[in-house]
Amino acid sequence: MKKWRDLLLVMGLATLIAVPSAALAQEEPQVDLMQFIPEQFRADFVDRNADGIPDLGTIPPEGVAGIWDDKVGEVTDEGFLDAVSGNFDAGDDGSTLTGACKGVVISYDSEGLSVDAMFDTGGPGPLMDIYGNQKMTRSNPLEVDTRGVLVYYGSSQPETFHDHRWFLKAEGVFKDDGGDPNPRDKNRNAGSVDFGELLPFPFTALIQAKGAWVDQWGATELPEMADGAYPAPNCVGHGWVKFVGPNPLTTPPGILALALVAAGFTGVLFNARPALSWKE
Amino acid sequence: MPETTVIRHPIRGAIWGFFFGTGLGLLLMVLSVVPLSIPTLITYAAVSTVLGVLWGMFAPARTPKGAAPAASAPPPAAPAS
Repeated sequence: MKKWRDLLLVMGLATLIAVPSAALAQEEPQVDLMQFIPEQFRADFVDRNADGIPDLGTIPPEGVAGIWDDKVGEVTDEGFLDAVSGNFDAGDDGSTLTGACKGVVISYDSEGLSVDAMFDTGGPGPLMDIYGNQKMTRSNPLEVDTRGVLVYYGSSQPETFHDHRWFLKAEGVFKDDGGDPNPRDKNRNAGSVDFGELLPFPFTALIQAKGAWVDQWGATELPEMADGAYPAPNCVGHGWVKFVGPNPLTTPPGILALALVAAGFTGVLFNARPALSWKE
Repeated sequence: MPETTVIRHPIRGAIWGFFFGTGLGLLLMVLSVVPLSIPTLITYAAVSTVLGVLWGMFAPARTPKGAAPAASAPPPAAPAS
């Protein structure tokens, strides 16, 4: 009996040591996103946290718009596809981005250190991370720091959309849409989204997102339709995004949730329970 | 032997159940256990409200507070005329 107990103890200790170290082992990047950044700007994107994703030298000062366009918008379509070529494992169907759209997204924290990155090469293949795994699935969502910055480069080449319409929806939370006649024949774009300025407070949440972008749709609102129902050319996608902040329980939604649970539990237990009373 | 009666609290159960369900749903969302979604949050709140009502109606009753009231004294005898 003692022998079995000792064996179980040793196995438990070995598991405790082996599992976290295996989980923490850094995957080897299969795509060098540094190739994607024009050579003259690479000094601004040194990989300081050694995750294979180029980090930002400094966050641009407030009010400086378009700085990212100069840096990542110069890449050509061929250069982009060369930079992100490789053999990748499309394991499940938790995310898709179909159509001509391709591009790369890198998210940073408030210090300019990379948090996550993903890319799509266009066509029917799914979104991928730089380690060769399918991205934007529920188990591998795109992580976005609620106090950080997200930079992106996107292209619809060889298509050029005109009089197009798009929508972006975070399931059950918000929906946004827009369109553009595109008189200047733009078919690629780069930019940044500063979540630190956009969001009123940090939080942590897993969100399912979906969106579509359709050529020649006109000014009317673009509805949600089944896959393949939109007129071509189009780009349609869905997947999972995880907003990450500091400790979730110290954020305003976390504090509110804890207060409601505590009040509700106490009330149910001590205030709502039936009670016996003496008859008069 | 003094008798007891059960006082039930379905309204209180609904209110506290609503708070508990909303908080639990929000907590699971900020911990990323379930995806952030308003319909999911409403479902948690509604189910918990119903469970709160059932708890307020059918949970084991608490014992009565205080001692049992003394048996009422017999009416005084009519004065002799």
